[in-house]
Parts: sequence; structure tokens; C-alpha cells
Amino acid sequence: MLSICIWHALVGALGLYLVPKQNISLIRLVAVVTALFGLIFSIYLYLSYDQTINQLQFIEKLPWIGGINAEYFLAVDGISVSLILLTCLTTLIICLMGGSLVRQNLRDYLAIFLIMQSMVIGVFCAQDALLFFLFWEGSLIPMYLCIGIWGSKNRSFAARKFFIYTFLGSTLLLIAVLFLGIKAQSFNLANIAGLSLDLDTQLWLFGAFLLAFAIKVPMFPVHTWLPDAHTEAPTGGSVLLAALLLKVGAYGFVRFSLPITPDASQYMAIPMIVLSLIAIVYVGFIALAQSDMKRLIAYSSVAHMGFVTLGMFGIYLIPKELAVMTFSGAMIQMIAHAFGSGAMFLAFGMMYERLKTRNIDDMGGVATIMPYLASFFVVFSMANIGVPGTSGFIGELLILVSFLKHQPWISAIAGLTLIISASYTLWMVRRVFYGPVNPNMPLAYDVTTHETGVLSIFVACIFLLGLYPKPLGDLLLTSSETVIASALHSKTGAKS
Amino acid sequence: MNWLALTPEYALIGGLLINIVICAIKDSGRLVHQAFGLSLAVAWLLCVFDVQAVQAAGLLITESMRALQAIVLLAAGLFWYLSQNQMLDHLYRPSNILLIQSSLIGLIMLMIAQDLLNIYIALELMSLPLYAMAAIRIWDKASLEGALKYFVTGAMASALLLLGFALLYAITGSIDLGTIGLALKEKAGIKLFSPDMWMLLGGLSVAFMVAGCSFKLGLFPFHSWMPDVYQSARIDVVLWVATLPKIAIAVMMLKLIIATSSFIMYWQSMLLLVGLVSVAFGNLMALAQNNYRRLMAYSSIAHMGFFALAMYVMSPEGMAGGLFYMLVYILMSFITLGVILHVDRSEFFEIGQMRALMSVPQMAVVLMAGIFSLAGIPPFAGFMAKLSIFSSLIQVNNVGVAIAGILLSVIALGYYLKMVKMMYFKEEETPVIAIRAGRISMLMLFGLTLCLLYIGILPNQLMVLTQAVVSQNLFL
Repeated sequence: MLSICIWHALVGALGLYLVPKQNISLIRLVAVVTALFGLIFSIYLYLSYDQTINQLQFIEKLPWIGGINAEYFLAVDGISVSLILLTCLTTLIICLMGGSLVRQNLRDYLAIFLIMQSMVIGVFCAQDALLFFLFWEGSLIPMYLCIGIWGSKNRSFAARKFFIYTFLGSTLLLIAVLFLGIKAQSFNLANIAGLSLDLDTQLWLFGAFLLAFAIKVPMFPVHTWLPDAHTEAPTGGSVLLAALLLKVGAYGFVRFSLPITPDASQYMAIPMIVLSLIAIVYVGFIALAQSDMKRLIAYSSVAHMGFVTLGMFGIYLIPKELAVMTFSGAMIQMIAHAFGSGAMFLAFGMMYERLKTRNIDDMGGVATIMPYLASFFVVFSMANIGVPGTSGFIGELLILVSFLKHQPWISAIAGLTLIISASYTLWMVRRVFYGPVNPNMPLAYDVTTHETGVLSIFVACIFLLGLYPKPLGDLLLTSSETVIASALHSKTGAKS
Repeated sequence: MNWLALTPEYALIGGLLINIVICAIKDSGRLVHQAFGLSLAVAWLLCVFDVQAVQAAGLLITESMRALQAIVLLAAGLFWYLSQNQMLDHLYRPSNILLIQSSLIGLIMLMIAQDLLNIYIALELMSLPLYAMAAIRIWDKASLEGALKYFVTGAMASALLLLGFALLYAITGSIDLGTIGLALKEKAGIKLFSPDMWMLLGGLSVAFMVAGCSFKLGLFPFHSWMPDVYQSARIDVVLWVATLPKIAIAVMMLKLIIATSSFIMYWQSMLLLVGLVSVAFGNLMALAQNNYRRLMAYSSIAHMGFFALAMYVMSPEGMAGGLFYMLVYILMSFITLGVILHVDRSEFFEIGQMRALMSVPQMAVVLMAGIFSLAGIPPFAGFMAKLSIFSSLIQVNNVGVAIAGILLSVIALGYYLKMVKMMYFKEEETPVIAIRAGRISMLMLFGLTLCLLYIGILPNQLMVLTQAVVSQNLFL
């Protein structure tokens, strides 16, 4: 079942190459049908996922590499299911929009996104560390090509920076995975988590994981590839990067760092929280200073992902009941961020298509020309700021509240984000959409019906998640408890 | 000794003899070429269907080795088809095909040779024709320079290897690898020398063997012939030199290491040094190259460095991993050099002109897969090859070397990504460079790319084969 979920997109991508290059409408149809199939299938997966049982479900296990006992082992828990839903939804949106935003090599463009969908879902399903790594790296080449081929002017630099950063991060991850796999005689994540390791080894492994995942999330000192990649990537690439690839990094923390190296995570919790707070506050200020609209959204992305890491490592500083709250907050923030940043990137892509500029100073009064697009964008901005009623609110609220009693200083600093993110987002909205119309702007038409439809999907998700987050919360709850239990369970005690 | 066990070798030798006769009677390149192809096909069939395990008269034929030879012959068949334009070029006498044929015979013999004499003879039979082949473009000074370097260093390597063999014979009194292994274990020759002297001679012998093998593989301090030969020799000769002989040398190294495993610390210290320095040097030098073929030479040095690191592990897993790496590397070389085979005047082909490959988009895709595989990015086979090396390094608790190796391999991204960028990310006018790609050679390259993906995702079969080769050679 999970195999279908992973591989259908790859089959669809191969199917695209059976269609002649000139037949654009058929190409779009094949891509959209594949993505739609994925979404329907993942909804089916969600409905048949039993939320009352606290264990991995839909298990598939086949021997893979005999010599080192690696297996083709797939299974999901609540966190994976929610992220798979997100993945399928995002790919569908990209495929729906693909045709109107990209003119050349449409077939390759859509194929690349379908391949990436396969790889990302694979990451969320893999329960074998080596398989996880294979899927993790699998999205590297498609994204590199996506930025490099369809990106804007400085694309080759951005693509190379993205590739080298990510690859450098994953080298040590590979060594750590091999080390653990050989030690445990199996790459099964549960077996690996069952190893008892002393603190030094754990710290070493934690460092290797941290490098890989922190680059992908990205966390504060290694975030610099993201603004470049986002700015230069085509719209679909930016959306996918913000909505999915960043989540892959955070998901790595959940699957690797917390259960495998719990003591090291505890030991490093304060530094991690400090880095997260720096990301939230300092990067927020950087966003304030941007004049490139896409860059601004990218920095705001970094700041919001800071909340996710804050929530994940915050569990070590507060009592267990609250830990579940902050952890689910982090997970919800992960999903919500996709709807905030991803949607903003998409809406911006549509604007860019018409205005051909990213510079905020070149714009002004866009709302007068394109009132509908402007209203959509404002809704997305609200979600990004975290206005109550939108998706961005829930996650941040859960995290801030859970720290309030025991670690008020964290809440105080993280709470600054409400001011900072409101400042940079609203200031940008004011400069771009309101005020007098900038005479240098080309004449442009408002959103088409097709685009309205696509943007409405995002709007619906934002409000659905903002007003009625219970289904998502329920889905995440038991799995979060499991992760926290293993994250708080010291492994050094039982020295072997 | 069952002489009928050697049928594949007979087929190849028969092919060579027939071709000599053909060359004497009628100067027809096409006929010679076809006879070569026929002998290859017969030898391949015999290798697959007429396997008889034999251990006698300085030979060791095992099922797994025959399977490996079948792979080699298949690759030779691929080479035979892909490079027919070059081999049949009217500029050359048809007898140039004979050289490749005799090199192939040496290569196949080397894989089953089991005593020092047979090894040496087979090795020379394999290498000597290549020196001549490297010089076949006699009107080109650069080509002659490369060939001369190749010949002089290669001859020196052979001499060193022979000296190593001689010392081994001196302290064990045998040329048979099995007997040598036993004699070294029991320190049989130790009464002839003082223990210190015995160790010293053994160490020297290993040192000479490492140096000889390093020459043949093109490892760091002995690499100087590689860039020149790669750049200026005829392209099909480069394809040959870069690929098949390396498998035979890997097998030879494997056998020598197993036989002299009593001197494991000498092998290890030298291979570690040579391996790490080669990876670093090859990658750094490749960063500075503009010429495509020269760059591939330096990248080859780096890859051979990884092979040396695999051999450094000295565990059966490590050696099997090394052989696996070599096979995958050869597959990748077939792609990266096979594409250039179709480019006109490829000795001047620069990285900056790679956009020209986009005039045949399938070619560019194939080459991109090859490049990513060389860089070791999943899902291509290059990743599995690196994985097998690192996992065997970690298995013997050598995490430090694994980390050093993997970090050094990040440097390689610099030039591999540059090549992809030149192909795909540029928007300038396509430079006019003639690319002739036949339908069948295109299909072959595509098939190789599929192999690359297949091994990258399901490496089990090939891994099992290499493990069998190693374990069936563990005769001690």
C-alpha cells in the first residue's frame, strides 16, 4: 500500500515521457491525474489509518541489501501520514499551476516534481535508515536541476550552493547511519533506537545528524543557502522547497536525533533552543531588511522553522504533559508553515509572472491593479504572521503557552516573533499592494479563474487548519507521545 | 590438469591466430574486426556455459571468476561495437585490432593466473600492446609523449613488480600463491634469514608490489602517465585503458594480498597513504582542468584512491567492496568515455563546450547520469559502490578513514557539478561540434545507464558475485 503511495508518482513521471513533447495539454493532464491519484490515495491512507493504535501501520518489509542487512521496510505513524497528505496536496497544486508558470520543457519540469514527490513520500515512509538516506538524497538531483534549469538569473550559483550544502550535510549522516547499522546488525530504525550508547558516542552521532538536518531545516548558522535557492528557484521549486523539503529536515530530527540519541539531545537542548531563538529573532530582523520580496519570504521561512526546532527540543526543559503540547505544536507548525510560506511563494510566482520583478521598490499599489490576487496574498500573509483563525496561529500558540510556566524566558523571546513577523510581513504588504500605483509597473491582468481555484485550495487549508485543527491534532497525538517517550528515555543507563 | 577447462581462452587465442593469418593474406579491417567479434562471442558463450572449476598448473578457475570474466567479455563486446569507427578508421592498419585482442587475452589470463610467473606473463601480455596502442597516432607529438611516459613508467612498474615477486620467491621458495601463503604463515623461510631480515625482505617485496600495482592503476605518486594518455591517445584506446585492465589488476591485487596476508601491516600502511593522497590529489587537480578527457584522468586517480582504501580494509568484505567499486567504476567510465567516443576531435573537447552535447539530448541525459554516479549520488550505482567501501571501513572500526574519504569526495562535486551546469544551465548558443551517434550505440549507452540505476537500487546480485570471487580465492 505504501509502495503504491511512493511509486505511483514515479510511474506517472515515466508516463509523461510517453506523451509527445508538443502535446502540452495531455502532458498537463497526465501530471495532474497522477498527482490527484496521489492525493486521493493518501486521503484513503489517512482514513484507513487507525489512530487508536499506538504503533507503526501498513508495514511492508522485503530484504534489500543482503550483505549489510538493509531492508526495504516501509511503515507510517501519525506524523508520517500528516506529512504524506501535505506532500500530495502540494504536488497537486504545483502540477495544476505548472503549465501556466513554465513555458519551456514543461514535460521535464512536471516529471521532476513527480519524482520529488516520490522521494519525499519515501522519506516519510522509510523505517530503514539506509532506505531513508536513499530517499533523502534522491530529492537532491531533481531539486538541483529544477533550480538550475528553470531558475532565474543567478540560478547556477544558487543550485550549486544548494547541492553542496545539502550533500556536505548528508555525508556525515551516511557515516553515522552506517556506523549505527553495523553496530545494530540491522538498519531497522527501531533496532537502531534500541542500541544503548554512551554519551560521547551519542554526542558524536548527534553532531552528524545535526549537520545534515540543520542544513535542511535550515537552522540559524547554516541557513544561508535557503534565501539563494528560494530566490532563484522557479515558483514550483520554491513552493516545494518551502512546503516539503524543509519538513524533511525537521522530520529527520524526529526520526533520528530524538529517539536514537536522546541523552545527547537532552545535553544539547539548550544550545539548540538558543539557535532556534536566534533564528526566530535575528533572522526575523534580517527579513525586515530585505528589498527582494522572495528573499523576504525565504527569511521568514527560516524564522518560522525556528519554531519547529524550538518546539522539538523544548520537550527537555518542561514537564512531560506540557512536552506533548509543545511537540505537537512543532508538528502543527510544520504543516502550517507549508500553507503560509508555500502559499505566499505561489501567489508571488503569479505576481512575478505579470510584473517581472522581485524588487519591492519596483512595486506599489498592486492591489489597485490586481485586487483579487492582493486579497489572496493578504490572507496568506495573515497565515504567515499567525493571526488567530489561520493555520499559523495554532502551532505558535501551543509552543508559546507550553513554555510559559516553566521557562518564561523562552516564551518571552519567542513571543517577539509576533511583533517581528507582523512588522516585516505587513510592511511588505503595505509597500507592495497599497499606496499609490508605481508608474513603472507594466499593465497586468488579475488572477484567472484557474489560478483562483488553485489559490483557493490554500485558503481553504489555512482556515480549515486554523479553525478546526482537531483532526490533525488527533492524528499527531499518539505518535507524538511515542516519540517523546523514546526521546526522554535515557539510553546510557543500560550500558552494554 | 584438464586442458579442456580453458576453452574460453582457446577461443580468444584462436581468434587472434586467425586474425594474424587474415592480416597476412588480405588487408581487410572489417574482416579482422568481425573475426575479433566472433571470437569474443564464442569465448563469452564458453565462459557462461562451459564452466569447469580447475586448480592446477598455476591456474585457478572458479565459477565466480568465470562469471566475472563473462562480465569482462560482455564489456569487451560493448567496446568492440562502440569503438568500431576508430578501429576501422582508414588511417590505421587493420592490425591495430590485433593489439587489443592480445591485450584482452592477457587480461583474461591474468584473472585466472595463480602463480607469480603466470601473473607476470599475463600482466605483460595485457600491458605491452597498450603501450603500442597509445602511440598509434604517430603524427601527434602529444600522443607520442603520452605513450612514451606510459611505456617508461609502465616498464618501470613491471620491473618493480618483478622485483617484488623475486623477493617473495626468495623468502618462500615458491612461485605458487597458495604455497607462498602457507610458507609465510609458517615462516618457513625464516631459517635462511635472520627474522629481521625476513621481515625486511617481506616488507620490501610488499612495497614493490604496491608500487607496481599503483603504476598500473594510476594511483598518486605513480600517476603521471594518466592525464597525457587520456588526453592524447586515440579515444577507443583510452576507453580500453581506463576500463577493463583495471578489473584484472584488481583481481591480481586481491590474490597477492591474500597470499601475503602475513605482511598485512605493510600493505595497510602503504595503501592507506596512497589511497587518501590519491583521492585528495585527483580531486583537487581535476578541479583545475578544462579538457574533458584530462579531467576524467584526474577523476580516475581519485576513484582508484577509493579502490585502494577498500583494499586497505583487508577484510573479505572490504576486498569484495573494492572489487564491486571497480566494476561499478568501469561501468561509469564506459558511459562517460563512451559518450565522448562519439564526439569529433575529442582530444580538444573542453568542459566549456559540453553544451554541444545537448544537440543529442539523450546523450546528455546518459552523461549526466554517469557524472552523478561518479559523484556518488543515489540512486546511481556510484553511491552503492562508495557505500560498500565505507561500510567495510566502519565494520573494522575505522570511522576516521571513512569520514576523511567521504569529506574528500565532496571536493569532487566542484567539477562534476560544473559539467552538469555546462550542459544544462547555460543558455548560450550551442557550439558547433559534430556528434555522430548511431542508433545502436545510443541504445547501448542507454542500457548502461539502466544498469547504473539497477545496481544503484538493487546491488545485491553484483555484491554476491564479488563476495563469491573473494571467498573462492581465499585458498588459505
